[in-house]
Amino acid sequence: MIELGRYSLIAALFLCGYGILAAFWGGYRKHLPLVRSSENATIATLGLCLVSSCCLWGLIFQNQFQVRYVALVSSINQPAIYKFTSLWGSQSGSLLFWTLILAAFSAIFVFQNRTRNRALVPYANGILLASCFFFLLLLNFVAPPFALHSPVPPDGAGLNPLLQNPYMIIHPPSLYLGLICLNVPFAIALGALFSGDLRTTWVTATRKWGVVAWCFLTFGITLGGMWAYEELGWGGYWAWDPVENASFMPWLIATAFLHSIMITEKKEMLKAWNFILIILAFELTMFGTFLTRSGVIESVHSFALSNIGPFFVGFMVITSLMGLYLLTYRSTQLQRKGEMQSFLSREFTFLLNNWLFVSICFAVFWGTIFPVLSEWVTGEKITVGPPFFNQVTAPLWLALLILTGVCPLIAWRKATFKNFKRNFIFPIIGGLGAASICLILGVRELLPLMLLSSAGFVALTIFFEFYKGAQARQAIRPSAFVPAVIDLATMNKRRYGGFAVHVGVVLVFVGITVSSFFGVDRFFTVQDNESFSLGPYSMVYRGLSERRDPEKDVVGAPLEISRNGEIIGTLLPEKHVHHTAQDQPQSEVAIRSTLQDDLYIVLSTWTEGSATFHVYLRPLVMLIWIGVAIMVLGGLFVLVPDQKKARAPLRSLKKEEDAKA
Amino acid sequence: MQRPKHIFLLLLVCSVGFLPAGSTVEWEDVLNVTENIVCTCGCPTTLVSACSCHRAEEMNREVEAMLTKGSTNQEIYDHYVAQFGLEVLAAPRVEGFNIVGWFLPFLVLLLGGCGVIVGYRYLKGDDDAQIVTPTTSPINEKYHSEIQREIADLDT
Repeated sequence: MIELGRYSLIAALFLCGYGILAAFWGGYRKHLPLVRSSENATIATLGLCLVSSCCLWGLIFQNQFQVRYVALVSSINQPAIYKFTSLWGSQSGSLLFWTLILAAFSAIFVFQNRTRNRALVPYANGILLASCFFFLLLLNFVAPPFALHSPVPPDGAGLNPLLQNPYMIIHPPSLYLGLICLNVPFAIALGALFSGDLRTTWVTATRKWGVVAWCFLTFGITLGGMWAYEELGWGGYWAWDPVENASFMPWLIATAFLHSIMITEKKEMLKAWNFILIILAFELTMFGTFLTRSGVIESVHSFALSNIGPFFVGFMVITSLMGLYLLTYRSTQLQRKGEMQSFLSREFTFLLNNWLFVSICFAVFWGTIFPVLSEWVTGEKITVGPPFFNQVTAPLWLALLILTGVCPLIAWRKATFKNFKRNFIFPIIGGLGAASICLILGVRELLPLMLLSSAGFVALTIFFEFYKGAQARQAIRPSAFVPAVIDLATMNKRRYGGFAVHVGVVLVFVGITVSSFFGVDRFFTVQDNESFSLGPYSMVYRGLSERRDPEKDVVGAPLEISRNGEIIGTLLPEKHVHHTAQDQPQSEVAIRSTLQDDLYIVLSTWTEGSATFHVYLRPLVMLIWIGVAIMVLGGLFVLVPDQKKARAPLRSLKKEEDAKA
Repeated sequence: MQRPKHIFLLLLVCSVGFLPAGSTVEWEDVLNVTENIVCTCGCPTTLVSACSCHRAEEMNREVEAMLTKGSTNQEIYDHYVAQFGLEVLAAPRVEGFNIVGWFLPFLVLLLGGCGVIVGYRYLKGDDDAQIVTPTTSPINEKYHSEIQREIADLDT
């Protein structure tokens, strides 16, 4: 199995190399059989990567500890599900998993475009294969997953206990799917630049793949936040950690791209800018991978220090230069078509939106790399943590939230003052109403007050969009309000799917603002059967419980919980000491999560007869998870083809058949 | 003529009641400090206010003790910097090379703003070209209504 896995990777490398040459030469010479051959090479590469991955999975399940990677990430008593997730638990396995997904996306792209976009497909396929080739080079020569070691240990070290969590089953794959999916728009964009086919077909293709990537990224980043919230035991879901930032930066640029591409589709403006955003999103994906894997920056999420960094830097330099060269080469074809008429136009608000997204991305990038730069310059280590990121980005987030409300209310081309007044009067009143409610509820800090009132403003703008649309629909076809809204949304999925995403964004902003500014936490050291309270919750400590599992020793501290005097159940915060990682005792947090608030309890320390708890009360955290779910569902709704469009190929086929008859 | 003096004395006596109790330190005061210090337990970039480890609990108590003694926030930061180096602060101080760290994002924001204005001017059409003399021919009316319909479609 070891040999099969190893030779599959070597064969995939050669096949990929052939595919690249065949794709570019076939595309350049317009030699269809060669192009088809390169596409078959893509599908075969996927097959070989799958064989190799299955071999590694097989070795992990068979406890073949002579393979270094297996000994590093698995152990005999490791539960089967975590043996399965071990494939992406460390450096070389995760590189293999990355290559597998990349090959799968490449094959889907090829399959999807067998009869479409033929001018750019050979080049796009060549670029996807080049990306695969780079990762296969690493797998064959720098970080081989099938490398052997001796002496063979009787048992493996096991997967990092922090990664043995249900969220880790799905968080890395969804994040990888999002990050790797951004390779496809990059390949399409560069394919269009290579081929010179710069009509709007590439725009639609990149937008769809961009939406898919965005959905996966949003989902993956949030799962990471949920994992951190439940597993790391610090009462938060986002710490501006370098690795968190690494996945967040491509998301920011992808979001900017999905907004600006609308201008290109509708007005044929900002073509070159969209190419820049796609290239940037791809490079940030590579930069994130470099950060996680090179050991340049210290993080709770990063892989061990390795020599892989320079290869990523080289790849990023080559791909950036290639993108910029092609962009310059085709610049004359990318000149503007449409025209912008006024500051008071939707087009201009999209420009502002892009400006804010890119600025936030730069702030995050800068804060992430600044400790390294500072150490180079001053020789002294510094930390750039949450206070920096919160202070620098908070005003930009506020501006972006306001813009989320303003943008849909402004007309395309040029808004008149009358139109402006008519559209804005009720949402502004709503925003002021939200501010008044916040003041009545005792909110005195300026930033949360502004964020919450802006959220109220945006929520009302979206409500009025649905309300006005439903009214118009009811005028055409009389029906109740809710069926009219459903009818309206299904008639224009892109527009109303986008609004659903904005509804999710508002909920996320409210959840983050309220849980961050109005959460409380305390340390309590209590004796057995002693009670203590935080907010409306009272807790009674019922003494320590201990048990020994095959994998770990567990110390629990059961707490009887009451809310406003009524007993609502028992929570059991625990501390786990894994036998394979005894120096890393791990907190198992006990959370009582409701729509209103989260009671979050961490067992900190204990002695005979007493224990210390860190108790957090975080209001409206669940609103964040609900908001993200709505964002992702809204994104997926955008992707559902309209009935007319879905039937169009069938109609054209029928026409062709009729013509033949 | 004695009244203002009496009122002043009365106010002075009353105001004593509003002075904070000398030895009480609120948890929020401790948090104000600990959310700017990194826990020295070894976890990268975990703030003392957020960390639930034994070391974080110790540091919380140390900060509480220092605040009770009357130390200012700055003095507490200096105390930890002397012990663990600048790395213990959750954000760099605004001094020396770190000034670049704090202000470059805002400079880029400003430059981006200029870029937006330049982009707008580049993309802005010639206003004069927008003035179209209306005609009444049926063909033009047909095209005019078609254009109006398309513009309306853009908004939906």
